[in-house]
Amino acid sequence: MSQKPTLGRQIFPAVALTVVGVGFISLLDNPGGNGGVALEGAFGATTVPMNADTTTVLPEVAVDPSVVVPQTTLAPSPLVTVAPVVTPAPVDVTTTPSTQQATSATTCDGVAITGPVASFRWGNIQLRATFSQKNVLCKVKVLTYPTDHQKSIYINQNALPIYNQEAIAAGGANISVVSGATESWRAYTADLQAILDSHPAG
Amino acid sequence: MSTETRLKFVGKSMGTAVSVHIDDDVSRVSAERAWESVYVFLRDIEDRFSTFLPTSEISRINNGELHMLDASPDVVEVLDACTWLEHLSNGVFNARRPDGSIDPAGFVKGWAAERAAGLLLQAGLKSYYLRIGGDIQTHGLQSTGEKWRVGIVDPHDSSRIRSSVDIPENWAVATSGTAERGQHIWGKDSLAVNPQFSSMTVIGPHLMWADAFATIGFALGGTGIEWVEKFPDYTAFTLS
Repeated sequence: MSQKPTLGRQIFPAVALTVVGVGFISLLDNPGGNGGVALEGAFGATTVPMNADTTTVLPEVAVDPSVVVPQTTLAPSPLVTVAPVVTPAPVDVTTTPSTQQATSATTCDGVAITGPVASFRWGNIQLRATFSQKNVLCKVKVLTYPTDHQKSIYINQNALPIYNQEAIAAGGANISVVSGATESWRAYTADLQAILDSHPAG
Repeated sequence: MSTETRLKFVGKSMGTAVSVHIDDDVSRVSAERAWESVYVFLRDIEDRFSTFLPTSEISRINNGELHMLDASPDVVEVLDACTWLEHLSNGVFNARRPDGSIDPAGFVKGWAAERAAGLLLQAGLKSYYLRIGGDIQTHGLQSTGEKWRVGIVDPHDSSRIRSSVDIPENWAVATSGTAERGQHIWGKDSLAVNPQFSSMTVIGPHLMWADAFATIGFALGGTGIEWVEKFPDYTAFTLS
């Protein structure tokens, strides 16, 4: 269970998170460029399409999940540096961490899922996830994002839930437990949680 | 240890279901003993806090048989927390009914569940969750080493999951939705229609606060997320 982390395993989340962070910043920096920035690098290639004049400074994303980075200054910098921050990627959809490295070579030729619009502190976010044929997440694209707080960044792995209803329905998300508005005992008996409580592998 | 060996217990308490899933590598006997301590505790809380039982401390306070200051420390603690929440929410959260009687049910469930989860820790367990009526207190990681992954129910169709969140170690999840409206919010805003979202989920270290914050944040509507995230470590998100 407590494997010694390989170098790749340490670096990968940092790179993944960093690329996502870069994507977010550039999104926030270019509110007009709708859909122009895909976070394809998050789980695959390391290139991030950005406007040539887009300048970016990486936020320090702390390991503490509660940390909010409210005022990230978008100071000019010609290079995108990769901060060696060892922290989980914010969009942790893959069910087994060990497959993450392997997925970088996987082609995204599986199903693509567009999530519902989710409301966050600084507005709405909508993600589109693409899976490989083996249903491993390999690409996440931000379709909708807040544009009214350009200098505010809120990268928080806990604040970005996964919206992949179809993948969940297909059993690919490995849900342990279900949260919902309070149900009665009677409602529980027909609830998803009741299935998890009775299913040996749930 | 694989997830196939997870030990599961379900019971009925406070009008809803209580589930405990234990991933520790322990014998079934010791897990059952821990579960029993949880169940006995929750039954005791229900006996003392239920407004439906005339013998509960809350009923006796409302009947004038018991002064609030003579109530048990647990009751005083709960009413104290309710007062604090009422103050912080400008009265949106209110454990006092319009007729003046007290009903802290909106806080008791989350508070009791967090306490009950603490009993599992006291029993030496490290890897588990306790769920009561859709609110969850986790501890540790799953036996696979992964975080507990919590599915969030579609507020319009409880048979579907709309999203999922990986919970940091020892954190809690609570969701409030239209199903709860009117249950324990008697504030001035409680009747306002909330066009923006249908449920609010709050995650944070303590279930008693996550539960209360979700209730208040949902009732606040458009300013709810901002209100919840004033509190360090607590994060809210909504489903439309």
